[in-house]
Amino acid sequence: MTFEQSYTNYKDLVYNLALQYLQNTADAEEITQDVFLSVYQNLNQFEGKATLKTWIYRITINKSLDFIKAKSRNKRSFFFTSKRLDDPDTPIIVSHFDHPGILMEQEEEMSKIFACINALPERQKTALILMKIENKTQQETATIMKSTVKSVESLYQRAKKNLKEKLALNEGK
Amino acid sequence: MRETKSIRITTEMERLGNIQKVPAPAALWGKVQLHVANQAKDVVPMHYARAIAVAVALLFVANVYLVANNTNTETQSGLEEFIPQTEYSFYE
Repeated sequence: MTFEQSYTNYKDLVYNLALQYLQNTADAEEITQDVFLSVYQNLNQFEGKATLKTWIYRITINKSLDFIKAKSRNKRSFFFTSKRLDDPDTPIIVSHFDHPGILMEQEEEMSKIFACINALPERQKTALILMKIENKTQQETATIMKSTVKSVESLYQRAKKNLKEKLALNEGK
Repeated sequence: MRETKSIRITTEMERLGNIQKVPAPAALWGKVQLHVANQAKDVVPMHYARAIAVAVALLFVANVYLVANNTNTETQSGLEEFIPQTEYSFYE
């Protein structure tokens, strides 16, 4: 498969997956460019279409998570704080909410839901995004996350429980 | 009240599954190509790297050869010898 073919086949997959993590078109475009630069550099290593697709999923997830971490780090260093990312009190910094896949009338509501998703631990967030938003099966999610079906199911259930708690907490405020 | 809240949260969860997929912007391909071209410009070509590696290796070998030869000459010619000093009086 040539680089151009791989771009044509997977550009929407990468862009949409990055959008679910970052909820901002400019940031998702940046991630898409980075991902395809990596694809360009490593394309000769992939013979099968399936392995390339799984690898593209993984690299998009990793780059999106790194992007969020880098953004939070920059923001924290600006305020001279030393809070850890997994600290539940640490606000997750996302750029202006701009998700073209969400209807305008649902934007406010969905931005609140995504704020709660962004506060989930990384692996729970990934399991939720892949299974709930990207409609991947447990097996597909497990392959992408280099995990077992059982562990993915557990991550997904915990993510749903945590998300419901966070949403209920938000409702109460 | 609590039930209404629960139903609302469940609906919110269901909404996640209804997020539409959007096509990647058409202009993105141009940006990706530019990104790839810029990166390729920064990378040193492989034959340059090989030539530099060979040059460094040759310099190293030449250096080792010269040092080895130099040490042999010095020991053979006996230029460096210990001359015992017997006179310790100064400024007489």
